Amino acid sequence: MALATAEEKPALAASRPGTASGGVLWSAEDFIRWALGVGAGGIVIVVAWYVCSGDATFGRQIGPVDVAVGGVVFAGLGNVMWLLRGRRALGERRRALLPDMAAIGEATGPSAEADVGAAGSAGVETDLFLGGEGMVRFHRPDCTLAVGRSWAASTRQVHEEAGRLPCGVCDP
Amino acid sequence: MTPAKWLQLQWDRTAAWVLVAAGAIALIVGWVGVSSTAYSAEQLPYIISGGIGGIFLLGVGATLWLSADLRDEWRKLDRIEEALQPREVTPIPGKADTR
Repeated sequence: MALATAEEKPALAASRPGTASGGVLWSAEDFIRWALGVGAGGIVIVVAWYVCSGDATFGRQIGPVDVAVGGVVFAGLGNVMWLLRGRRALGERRRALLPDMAAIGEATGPSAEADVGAAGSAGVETDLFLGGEGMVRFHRPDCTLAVGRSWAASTRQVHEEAGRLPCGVCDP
Repeated sequence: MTPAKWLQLQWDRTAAWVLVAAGAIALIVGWVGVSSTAYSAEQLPYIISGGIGGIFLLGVGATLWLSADLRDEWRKLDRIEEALQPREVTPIPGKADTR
């Protein structure tokens, strides 16, 4: 799964204003839809109760009971839609923001850790950092935001000449 | 933190508890009402107000509680995103950047 870097976030914000930086979990439209669903369901139940309690004939009370059941189902659907909308927005933002832990697990498996350990014990520091065309940040190769990316490796000077800034996470 | 402040900050969870409690009370009152009479015509209004109304209140309360959890997670992502922002480097006067 891809990660969102700082330079990609504006694009995310443009594609889905409600879920990217500065967005909201639920929009006003979601809230109105939920309030209308739950409110309408509640009103239907109250009206059904009023009609039912005003009639002493069992046969004529069945209709209001059915309507009340419909009202509670309608309100329930409104609640479910509200929660699903929130979960979806949250999931989209989480996927856009956070790294894929499975990919990190593969990248930082036993062999990868051994390589890093060997390089560290030898006192070797890599001079290459990852970045790409159109990006405004460059990253260390082991940066979590660079896992699974096919960005080109270049020296710091190349990145800085291209106008890229150091990543705020790995601080290259 | 005072209880009043907590209630103000956790308004959604407070409302959820109130609604769930109201729903439980409605169910109990409905059950008492239904069991107090043998006539179906007198039981049905209790089924609507106590039973269906109680389920409605429980549903809205549960929704508010789950919404509060989603908002918590959203705020956590806000903090993560804030931490991912690059740190601002203020140059020290008279000291050249040797990097």
